[in-house]
Amino acid sequence: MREILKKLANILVIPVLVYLIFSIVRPEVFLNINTLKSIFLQSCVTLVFTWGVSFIQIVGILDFSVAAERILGSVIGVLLSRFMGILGLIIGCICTSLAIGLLKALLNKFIRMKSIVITIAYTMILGSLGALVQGQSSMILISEACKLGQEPFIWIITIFVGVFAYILHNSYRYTSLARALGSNEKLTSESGVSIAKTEGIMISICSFFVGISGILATSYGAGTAAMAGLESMSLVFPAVIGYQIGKLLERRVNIVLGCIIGIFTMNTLATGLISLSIPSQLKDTVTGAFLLILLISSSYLDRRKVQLLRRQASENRFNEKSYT
Amino acid sequence: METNRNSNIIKLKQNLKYRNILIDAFPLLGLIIIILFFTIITSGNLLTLNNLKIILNQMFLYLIGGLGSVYLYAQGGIDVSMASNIGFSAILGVRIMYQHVGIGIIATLLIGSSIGLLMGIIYAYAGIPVFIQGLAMDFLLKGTLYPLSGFKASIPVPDRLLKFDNKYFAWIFLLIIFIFIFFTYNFSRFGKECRSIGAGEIASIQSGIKVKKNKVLAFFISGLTCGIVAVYTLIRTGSASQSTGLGFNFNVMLSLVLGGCVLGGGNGVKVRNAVIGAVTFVVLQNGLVLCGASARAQDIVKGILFVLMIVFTSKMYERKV
Amino acid sequence: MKKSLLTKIVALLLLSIMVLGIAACGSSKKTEDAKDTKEEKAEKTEKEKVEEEKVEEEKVEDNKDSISEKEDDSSNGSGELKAFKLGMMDPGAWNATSGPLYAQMELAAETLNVELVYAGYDTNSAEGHIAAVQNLISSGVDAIILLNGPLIHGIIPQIAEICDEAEVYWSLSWTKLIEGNNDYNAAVNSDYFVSTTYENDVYSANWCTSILGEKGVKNIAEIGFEAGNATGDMRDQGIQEGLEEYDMILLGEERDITLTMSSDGGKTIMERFINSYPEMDGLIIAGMSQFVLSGVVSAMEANGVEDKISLSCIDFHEFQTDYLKSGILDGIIGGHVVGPFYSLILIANIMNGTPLTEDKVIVEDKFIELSSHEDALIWDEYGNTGNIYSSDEIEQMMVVNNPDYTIDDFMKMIEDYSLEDIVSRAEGN
Repeated sequence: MREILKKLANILVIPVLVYLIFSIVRPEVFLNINTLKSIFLQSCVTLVFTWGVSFIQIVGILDFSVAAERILGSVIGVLLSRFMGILGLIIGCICTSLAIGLLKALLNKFIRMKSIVITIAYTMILGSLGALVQGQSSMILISEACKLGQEPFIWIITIFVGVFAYILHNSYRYTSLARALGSNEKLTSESGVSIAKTEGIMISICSFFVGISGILATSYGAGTAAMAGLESMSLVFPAVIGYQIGKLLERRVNIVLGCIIGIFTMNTLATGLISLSIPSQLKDTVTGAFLLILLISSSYLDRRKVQLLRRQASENRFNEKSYT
Repeated sequence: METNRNSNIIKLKQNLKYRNILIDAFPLLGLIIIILFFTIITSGNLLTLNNLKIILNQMFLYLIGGLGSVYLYAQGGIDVSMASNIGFSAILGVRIMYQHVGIGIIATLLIGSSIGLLMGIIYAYAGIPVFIQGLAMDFLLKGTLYPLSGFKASIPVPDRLLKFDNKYFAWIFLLIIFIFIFFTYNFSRFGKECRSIGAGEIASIQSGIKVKKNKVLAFFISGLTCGIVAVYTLIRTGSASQSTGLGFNFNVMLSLVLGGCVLGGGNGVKVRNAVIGAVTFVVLQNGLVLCGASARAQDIVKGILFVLMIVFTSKMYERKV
Repeated sequence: MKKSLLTKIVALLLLSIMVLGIAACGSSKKTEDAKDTKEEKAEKTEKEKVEEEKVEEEKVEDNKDSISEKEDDSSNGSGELKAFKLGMMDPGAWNATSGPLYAQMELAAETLNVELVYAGYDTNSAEGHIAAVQNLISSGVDAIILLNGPLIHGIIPQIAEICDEAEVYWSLSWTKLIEGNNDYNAAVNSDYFVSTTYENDVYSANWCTSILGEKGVKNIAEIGFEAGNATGDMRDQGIQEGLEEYDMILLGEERDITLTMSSDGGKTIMERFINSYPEMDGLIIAGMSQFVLSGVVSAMEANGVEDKISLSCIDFHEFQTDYLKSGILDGIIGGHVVGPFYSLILIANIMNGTPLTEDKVIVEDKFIELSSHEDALIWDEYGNTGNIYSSDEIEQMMVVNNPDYTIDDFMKMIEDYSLEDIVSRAEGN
């Protein structure tokens, strides 16, 4: 029991600390169940997106084009929703994302997505395609098709997707292989794991999640807008940051939960800074500084832990030796 | 029999040598194809004297940026904070230039390189992924730009700085940088160690290379490059604002890769990547406007060309013996 | 096997790029013509120009009768016009604010025998803008219209120098030049500078604030441009003045472009506002409503605060008519989509040898204010179509077609721009 509590404390220390600080400064806002609920609600779309991105990040792929992929899916989804309602949105988002994902996976055999530049090139192509497909048609979703982005559906979908991501991360063979590939590609591939196949599967899984996040984003915000060129690239950053915070906690907790903590922490920070009426431009600086301090300190703590363990192990060995 | 075998081996070696030369020359071939393509499609407009001047003018900053990033890319690193670093040093630099232009220029270089140094120390000692570290620093610096510029949209540079706008001086300066980087990268210990770190960090540590020191130095040079780019951007654009240097990080990356740079680091990173890449990148952008393509088509064609270039260079590199 | 598949894929990609390239460059035929005209232009001395203008004027006189004969069949008028190339920046993806702007430009270009060339710029950087201008000049354009003042403030002297050297006419839109500063001096001293049109951004934001103030709103929040954007700064000034006038408080603001460029971002911002400021009773979207408004409205509906929070915005949105009808939106100001069109008219007249004026035109173009459902319906019918000025009207703005047309008529047209003006002209036609 104590172990579990200790573990729990370990995991929750970052978000709770951030939440606590803001609760002290603005208790009337943060000691309110509605605020907590709202922060979780804001996190849903990004969370599903981050879970998707986590599958490719474990192999070491940083794909900037996922946002453009999501937007292209949403654009087609909105167009289809005119004829088929919610079903059109679902089909448009998921099928488009999946198709792009499969294509990327197929091409990955020749065009390795490990290279960031490839993903920038994909962003250019997908962004322009989105703008072309959108043409001059309205990208606002009719209100009947917005249901999936509203309570309670958004909760249900996020929880289902989360459970699915958890299962995939823990019990799916290829995710373990992907993790192995991510940590040491040469060694893993020499032990008989197909890089192309594993990466391909991860890219496809990612695009499925991206498709779902497209549905949520479009129906949550009641519309979408095509972004030409490289405009959509900045939309990937929150997911990357969320994943990296999750990864810091990976030793203590599953990456799926880690992502929740990461996204929740960043959204708490953003809401907190708004509630303090901090000038908008300084929010970037605070976010960047927070991120740097968090990353540096946790990597330092982790390394110290490893050093301590090593010392302990060597002391034990020394003791064993002296007994014999 | 023996001599026959020997001559066969010599022949094979020669063949391999030619093949390797061909592979190395691929980015250059790509550039020539692109130039030919646009020359034909724009009925020669690409190669008019005026346009060549424009191309030279536009590639200047990418050349400096690419050359200065070579060490970092050789180590397998990447500096995402480059854009904010340029904006930050430019804005602070301009404010000092109003007191004294010379001191302002030196300050701009110092600010750029100190941020590089800080990034290098974090990169070497904190062990955070280099991309996310750059992203965090980018956020951090970006937020300070507006308050630093005195809550103004843009600050004009003092007139005395514009006197430095001498094209000959600029190109001589670039030539010196090129020669310096060419020799230090290819023949100095530091250059070799950078490539070795990119090829395998653990092996490098074990063979006695001071990896951490090298990482700090590479980031320092990248930061100094940001300072130089900041000064030149100020001279050329005549003002500092939040849009100074925006997107420079990704453009340098794109141009290096177009020049045949292998992003994983190691031996695949060459000084010539920066030169060929900068030319290709600028010719591509210039050529697409020249032929009157629609904006959407420009992006799509550019995207596909990037993909093709990367596929070719990486495939060729894999086949190199 | 592997190798052949790779070859096939590469071949396919190459093929697609060639097809795209050829399709995209299909219009390059005119390049040569444009090049010739440019060379011609360079050779002309001032004297020759004056002489030519005289000849042109005589021609116009001669044409007077023939034009009046042709009045019934006015589409023939464009046949007289000289073809030229006009460079503009990449419009980006279509939206309710930029859509009508480019639609109007394209209609005018078609009518006036103008070929539009777009320059893509990957970033909004100062360097990127200068490079785009240089590339456009290389492509043989005779004139350039630059949009988005906030991004080019500070580099106007460089642009002036480049255009003067290349002898290319240039105009600015959405750009306010403040008298006496470097940008202003560079523009008015440039031989090839034609005009700048700008909006009164202090006014637009002030209008939004007063809409809320009149309703008795006291505590507002703002969604706006990134700090340091010149347009954004002017709008902030307008809001500030409004706050003082109506004794209101600005509780908080959001300018993060990862949120202000999408509707789900808009919803997230509004969720944060609603939770952080329970006392909030008004919101101003000071720009980029086309992206965030539907998300903001969705958040208001989800939290049941439609009646509590009043809303006013700058920049038009596709669903504004519905929002105004339901009462969730109290007012929206936008329709500032004709500035570049005015510049095109000035440039086209210069290119045809009949400049409307020798002076640099610095003129404010008007917003359209929508504060009721009826207003919005009118805009939908006449404005949104990108046909604010019809091709018949455009033809009559050319002195070659209509020798009586003067700069005063032109200025009056800009001055008159309003919802009533659009309706009366459309019905008059």
